[in-house]
Amino acid sequence: MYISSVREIKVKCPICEDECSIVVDSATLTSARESPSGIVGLAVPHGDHVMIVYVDSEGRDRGVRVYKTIIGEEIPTKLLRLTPEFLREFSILKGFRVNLGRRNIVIECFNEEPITLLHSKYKDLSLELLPSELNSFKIASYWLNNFIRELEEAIYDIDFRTLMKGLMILDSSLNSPPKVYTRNIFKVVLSSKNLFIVVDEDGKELFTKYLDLLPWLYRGVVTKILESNGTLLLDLIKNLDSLSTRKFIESLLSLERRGIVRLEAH
Amino acid sequence: MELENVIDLLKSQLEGIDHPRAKTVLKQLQELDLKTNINDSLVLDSLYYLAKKIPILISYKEPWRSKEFRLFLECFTLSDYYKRTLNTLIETTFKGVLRKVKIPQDKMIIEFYPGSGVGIEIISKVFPNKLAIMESYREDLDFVVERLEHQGLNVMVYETEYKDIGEVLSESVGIVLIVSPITWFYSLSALIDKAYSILEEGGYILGMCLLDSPGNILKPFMSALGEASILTYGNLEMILISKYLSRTNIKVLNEFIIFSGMKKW
Repeated sequence: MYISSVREIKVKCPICEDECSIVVDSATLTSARESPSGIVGLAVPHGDHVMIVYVDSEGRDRGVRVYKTIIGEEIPTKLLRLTPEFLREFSILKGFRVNLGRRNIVIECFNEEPITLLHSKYKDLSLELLPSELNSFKIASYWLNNFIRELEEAIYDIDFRTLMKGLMILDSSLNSPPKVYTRNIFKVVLSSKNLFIVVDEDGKELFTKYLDLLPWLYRGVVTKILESNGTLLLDLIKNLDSLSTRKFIESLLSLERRGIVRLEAH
Repeated sequence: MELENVIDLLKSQLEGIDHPRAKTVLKQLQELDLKTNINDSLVLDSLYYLAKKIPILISYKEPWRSKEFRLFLECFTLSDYYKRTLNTLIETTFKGVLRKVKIPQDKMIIEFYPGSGVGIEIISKVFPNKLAIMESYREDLDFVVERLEHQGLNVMVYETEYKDIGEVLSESVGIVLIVSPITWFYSLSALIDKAYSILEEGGYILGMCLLDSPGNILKPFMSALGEASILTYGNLEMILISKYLSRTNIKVLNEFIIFSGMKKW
């Protein structure tokens, strides 16, 4: 039988001084026991930074550190467990595990027992998901495979925040039929910490004259993008929920394929 | 926005460009003899935008595949001016002299290089047949599918060049549409040849090409971009006759020639 809660640790974030309680479950203790360093990191996303509480196989607090990007930073453990509160951001996913292969990190988050239903592997990356309900395994598998391929392409551009944004879009897509014109949606969001929006003023001027004839575009989102010349894409999407992030990126791709905006990498 | 502003901008843009096509187009502009004015604001705005982008586009190998051209053509094809021309083409083909024309419902309607997809969208309101588009360029495909899907149209997509369409078609074809601005950059004769080869007997080709006339304001723009098919009435008539089409219908309408023909039984 799975024992969900073993003990609770109270910690204070050294950056934002936010106090929180972290539940250490038996799976965390097992992970710490099996880890070469004897500890496991429990990650708590705090807006623009992530607090990691290191826990040993007895469930003892072995230190707190704060990271900005996690992926690519020197951290003492390969496995990071996100606290289940993070799943509140998702509508379909009840758990996930992503192994970033050459970036040498595995990030997982589970509400209950860490079991998964959907698996995908591509090169040295793997992704496992536990969805709550699916309309079609075929559709979900399409998105899952699409995600992992685009994750592989963007593997050196991602950080913790963009990876989570990508997973949020995956979450909001799992029950939607595939559309060819959203084919780059994951690549864009996964690279969003390096992409700046550049608006072509001539294109913007023309487009706004007939925007009303394209009723499927989200007018508010389009207007926001057109007013965001020179802005980092991640800054525009970082506070959006999964559905809004997806709408935003879909609108961005619509503008991009018309040459009204371009995404410039820095 | 006035047509003069558009022409003035195009002239001044071309004067600063060292490109063989720029010289040809400047000559066309000197000889421009406008008989009619275009009052449609979307047409004027889209041409003004295109004039701004000509210095960049003229250097591209295939400007009609660029994002800038995509924006132009969307605005242009959404104008009443373009849609009215398309509606006239459909009316004259199926509701004019040939009132009895019926396309069996099991025959597919396919549009070659659909651009924004306005062509297939308009004909879908007339015929309940299965719809398809043929496009080889992936970004243009994304662009048109975005529109068609949001318009609620269920369209089969053939991602291929026109030369290979016969090999991948899975349904018999009742109508081929050759109307979008992207087709102006292909040999119209070759497109009609291919359309003829995939049509069922009794099926129709519906087309719209640019009229070769000194009074055509669209001509210098498309010439600057390297068009392949600006035709006179006589040229087009010869092409249609050589294809053994029957019930041919050719009509000059503003800056266009609209035409249709049936593959003989």
